[in-house]
Amino acid sequence: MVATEAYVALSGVLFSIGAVGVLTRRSAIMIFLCVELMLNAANLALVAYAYRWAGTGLLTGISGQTAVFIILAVAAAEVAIGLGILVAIFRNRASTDVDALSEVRL
Amino acid sequence: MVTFVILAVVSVVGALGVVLLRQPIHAALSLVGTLLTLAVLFVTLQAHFLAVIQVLVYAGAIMVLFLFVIMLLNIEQQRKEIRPWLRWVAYGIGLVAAVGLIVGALLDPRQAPDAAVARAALQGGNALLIAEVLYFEFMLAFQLVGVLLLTGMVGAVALVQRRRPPPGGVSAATAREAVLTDRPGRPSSHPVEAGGR
Amino acid sequence: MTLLPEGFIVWSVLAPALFLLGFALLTLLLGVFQRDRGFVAAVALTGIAGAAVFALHFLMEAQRGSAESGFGLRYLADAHASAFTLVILLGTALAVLVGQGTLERLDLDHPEYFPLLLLSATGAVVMVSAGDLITLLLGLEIMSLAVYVLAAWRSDVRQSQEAGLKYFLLGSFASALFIYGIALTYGAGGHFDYASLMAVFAATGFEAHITALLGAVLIIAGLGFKVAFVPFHQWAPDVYTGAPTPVTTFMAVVVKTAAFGALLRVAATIFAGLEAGALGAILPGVLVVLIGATLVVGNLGALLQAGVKRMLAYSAVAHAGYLGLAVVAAGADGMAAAGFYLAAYTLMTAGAFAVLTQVMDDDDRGDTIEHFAGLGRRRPWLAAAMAVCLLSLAGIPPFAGFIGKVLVIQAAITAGHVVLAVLAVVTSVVAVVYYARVVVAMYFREQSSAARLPERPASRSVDVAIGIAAVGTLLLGLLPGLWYTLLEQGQNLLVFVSSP
Repeated sequence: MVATEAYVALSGVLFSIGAVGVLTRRSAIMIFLCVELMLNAANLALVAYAYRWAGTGLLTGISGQTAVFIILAVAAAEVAIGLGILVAIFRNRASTDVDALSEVRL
Repeated sequence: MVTFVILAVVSVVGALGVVLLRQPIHAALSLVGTLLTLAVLFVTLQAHFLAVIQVLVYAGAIMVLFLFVIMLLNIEQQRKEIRPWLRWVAYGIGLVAAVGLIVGALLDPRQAPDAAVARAALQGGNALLIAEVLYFEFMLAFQLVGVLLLTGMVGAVALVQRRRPPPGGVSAATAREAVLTDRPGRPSSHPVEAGGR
Repeated sequence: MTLLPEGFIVWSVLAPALFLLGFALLTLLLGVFQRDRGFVAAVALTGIAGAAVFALHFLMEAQRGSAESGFGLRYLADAHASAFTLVILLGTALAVLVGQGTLERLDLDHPEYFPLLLLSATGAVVMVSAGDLITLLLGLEIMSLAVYVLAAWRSDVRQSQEAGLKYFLLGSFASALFIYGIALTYGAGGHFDYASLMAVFAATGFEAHITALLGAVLIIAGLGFKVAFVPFHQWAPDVYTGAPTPVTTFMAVVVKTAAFGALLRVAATIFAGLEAGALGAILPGVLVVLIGATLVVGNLGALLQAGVKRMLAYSAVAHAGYLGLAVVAAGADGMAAAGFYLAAYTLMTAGAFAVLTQVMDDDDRGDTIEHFAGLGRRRPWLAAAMAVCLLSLAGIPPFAGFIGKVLVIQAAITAGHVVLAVLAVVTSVVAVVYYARVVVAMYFREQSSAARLPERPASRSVDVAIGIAAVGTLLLGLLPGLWYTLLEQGQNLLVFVSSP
């Protein structure tokens, strides 16, 4: 069995990669994908820590897993709104305009 | 150990794909790869139920929605790039963050978890255990998720079902007059037509 | 099977939030068949007033030292939560009034407007009352999702849609930081609720500080986006300017109040627990740097703006800096000072934005200083209200903003952050310049022919909002004790007390 530290370190790497993506990508949908990656990194960290707490016998650890469940719902709601905004924007433009609008100045 | 290394490498490669691939479709599929790898990692961490949910909800529902929107809007690859120096600044920030988080994780001085104890406590992270916490500690949070999803629904409907005024536009004054004469405030056109280009 | 302990579920503490939620649903239903928006707005205001009655009840209970809580200290109705709930409700009521008077004219009148406003306020109330990180996250998301949609409300204007998109992308990035912060905090402390985390972090022999510290920094970053701390403030000017002005009114006051309410609570519990241990000095250091930068960048940025709306956006960043003084001084002093400051800030900022809606044209444009020239002669009452709000924002003595600044600066000095306090005083001198510029234009310059005030009948509900804001600003300035004693003497649950 690999130590939990390795899992948390992996989640840190995924999180940082996602953050770099948010900072370097320019199109809205790509930034949003990178945010999803960051959320998943957080979920991995939660599951790993849940395992640690359960494994050290101090706490059941299951609350960490349940939090992941809730965060999944948060991500789903965010996706609904985010993609809704994107669709609303694109729908109001002529199709040629799409490229210009997919660029967001951050 | 070997399993973890393989999964870690695959998930990092997938994540790099999300950040570096130029075609949005490729990037999204790359993210699906990472998500599936994460599901397997969840299994190795005694979270079987979450692994299933991860595949069903994340890889299944959410990413399909993403792919659907990418294809619907016909988003092509990016043309413009951000300024090179800014890119390097971003890489620098990412590197610092990654090193910081890795060091933070590895410096954890606490005793290592015992696999047998963890297995006994988590019972594979089955639905019954999660449900017990969900309806106890997370009772309030669970209710709030309902409100959150409602907000998401109302918001999405408000965003997408918006009617546009016809070419030339209806001035606020005429709209007001229309209301007074008991006609619809805005000419209500069919949503598809209204959303047309 | 685990059985719920007796007295775990206390629905009554949720009363303000539930009342708002119920009326959000009611206005949603009314929107289907009720075309009279004035009626829907009245229903929304009724809901806000009802929620305020419950919040006031809990505030009074807290005065008697019997503050209530539910769900095992995961939802609190103590002095801090109730007072911040009242400020949120005040801001929401002002936003409803401004919206009622301007939506139709701006062609923004859609039935989902008021329901989303109330849902967002519900999330805000949950945020300030939350007693654990997951509840806080859900409140934050409920509030934010509704505001993202509202910011993109003008489907025909590119700036508004881009404002919505930009706000959404940066907001969800901030949420991701916040969620990772929650994950690390859980890793360090093993719990999500403030009470247990505080106990774990403050316990002697606790050794996972680096993880906890990283978690705390990420939580500060996530909430820092919402309150617009520098360097997380970049969205604020563009989004405040791009969003329709009635929505900006809501965003500027309610989102900031909710995020500060949550940040103060987290600072007073989890962070205070962390600061008691080794490595504890790092966290206040991070906050001091952020807040110092916010004070400088916010005020200098406001100085350079030509548009009044954008100037007010930077001023909102600057005020986040002043409120930050209360966060570094967390604990009862800081919480009460911030509660007073935010009440004053809500009144004066909402008032200034409400006046702005009256000066701007039907396309939601025209907010340069030229447009304010000669306002004192043409619309004396409007100009007087604007002058009161702006002078209060600048921190000129008889008004509420001055008392607020004194309180937060005092709290910072008590907590030993003298440098920050000095910086706050210096920057507020700079602030006088950009607020005074508008006041001078209103009273000492002739109306320019290029920028005429739009000819239209005044909106009664916006006038009411402006009246409440101006009178409230004056009243809070003259009789600050009315509100401050409630904050100061009310009982707060979960306040960290360091063991001697």
